[in-house]
Amino acid sequence: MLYYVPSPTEAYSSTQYIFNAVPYGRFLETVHLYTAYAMIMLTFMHLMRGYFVSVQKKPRELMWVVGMLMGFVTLGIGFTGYLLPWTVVSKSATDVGVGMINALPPGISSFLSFLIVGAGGDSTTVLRFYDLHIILLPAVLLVLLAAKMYMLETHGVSDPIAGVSEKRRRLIPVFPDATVYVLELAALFGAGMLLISLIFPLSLPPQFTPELAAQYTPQPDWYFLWIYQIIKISAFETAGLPVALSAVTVIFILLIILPFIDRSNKKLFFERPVYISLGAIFVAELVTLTYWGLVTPGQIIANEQAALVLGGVALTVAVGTFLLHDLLYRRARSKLLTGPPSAALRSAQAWTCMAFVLLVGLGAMTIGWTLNASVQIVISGVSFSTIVMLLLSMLGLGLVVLGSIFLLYRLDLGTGSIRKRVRLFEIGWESDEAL
Amino acid sequence: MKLYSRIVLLLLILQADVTGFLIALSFTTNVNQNTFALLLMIDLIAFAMTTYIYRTERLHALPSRVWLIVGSVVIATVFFSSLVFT
Repeated sequence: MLYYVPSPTEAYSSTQYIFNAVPYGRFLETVHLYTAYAMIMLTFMHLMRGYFVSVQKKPRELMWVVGMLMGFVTLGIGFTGYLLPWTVVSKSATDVGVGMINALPPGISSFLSFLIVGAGGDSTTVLRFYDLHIILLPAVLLVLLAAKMYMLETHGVSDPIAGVSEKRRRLIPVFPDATVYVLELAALFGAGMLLISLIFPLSLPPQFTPELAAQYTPQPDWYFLWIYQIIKISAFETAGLPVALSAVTVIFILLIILPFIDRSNKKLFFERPVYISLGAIFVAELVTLTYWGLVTPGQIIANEQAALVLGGVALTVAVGTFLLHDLLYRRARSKLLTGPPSAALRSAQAWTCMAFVLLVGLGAMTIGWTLNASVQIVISGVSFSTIVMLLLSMLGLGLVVLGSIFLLYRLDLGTGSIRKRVRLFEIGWESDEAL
Repeated sequence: MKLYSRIVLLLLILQADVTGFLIALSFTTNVNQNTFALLLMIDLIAFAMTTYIYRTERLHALPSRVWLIVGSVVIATVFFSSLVFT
């Protein structure tokens, strides 16, 4: 702010001055960019974590809505800050974004244009973006944060999905405990950002000129790539930009009003298979679209290709989630009924798991050796070495089988299911009451 | 004096020293940015360790020795890296 000049003629040169002449200038610019990226990424992760653990449920609906608005403001800060260095990359990307605004319905389009572009012309635009980036949007974010913190104090933190017993629950004051914890996380986050900035220092792309921009394929920054990729799908190209933007707007609106759609009190993973699947599909599609957008700059995506890729991802994730649901359901139910496993039980489970993996590996090897020895005998005839090999492999296979039986029996000691079945067999499969 | 109080005292001395050194560095113009960043990292990690010990002691729990050892090793590594990069 001390050195940057928000005008089309001086924006790039002042940024270059910060990079090359101001002490620690390049370093600060690098940390600024990576921290902004991290903020956007963490905002999205916070959103999805909240969705999966049902923080939006009653009485925290408004907190969710305020959080969503904070997310949009964060994206706005990213969008407005991207233009400021006036590089060919940032100016071209912003032009794409501003072009999208013009495709919105007339009322919204004119309001947004008035707000961020002004009377028109580059000098007004860069000044407006600068003002929005450093004053207006951070101020709005602070107001929303204050509102959300007030609601947090009123409603308290959402219950964790794993369930915490009443004995373990206690009131932790915001100051000093929660504040110190946040400071600790902030310090570690800052250290991580410094490390990343050191490893990947930023270099300034070339200055924007219309001639250079003509040779460059405009591409938005990574956090808007998924929207850009949706717009590039052939069907939306034909139908027009307003239709594509309407589709994206519908996604955003659905996210905002989610607490008013999902009204059930169910919070646990295994109780909400449909919503968990939808959330997983949303994340998978977002990641796919972002990566796809990154590797296909400026390319129009054929309808069939889009249907195959996006449909395939959705189908795979949906099937995977539903298959996992049964597993999660069993685990969660067993945890709810019996409480968390003891340290001894966890240790026994780990050892059993390792033993099973070892047995499976040994079993595969001994089967391979047995087959190999048998084939050798058939092809080359009987010899001492092949007979020894066959015997040893069969002995190993036998040990693996015995080990598996022993392990199954050992596992049974916890549940008693084999003993129960044997007893049932003995008494002629009568009802459980006979036991 | 308890063991953890001694660790906190050491961490506070380290933070004070590093902060003083960073202030001194900021007056020089030809300093390597990597050195500055690495020393700032030491400051931040030491601060995080201090708050971690304070926080766990307030909850009447023992700080994890593993985390304290990991933090110390990271600080030592970053310190020696700063000497290499200078």
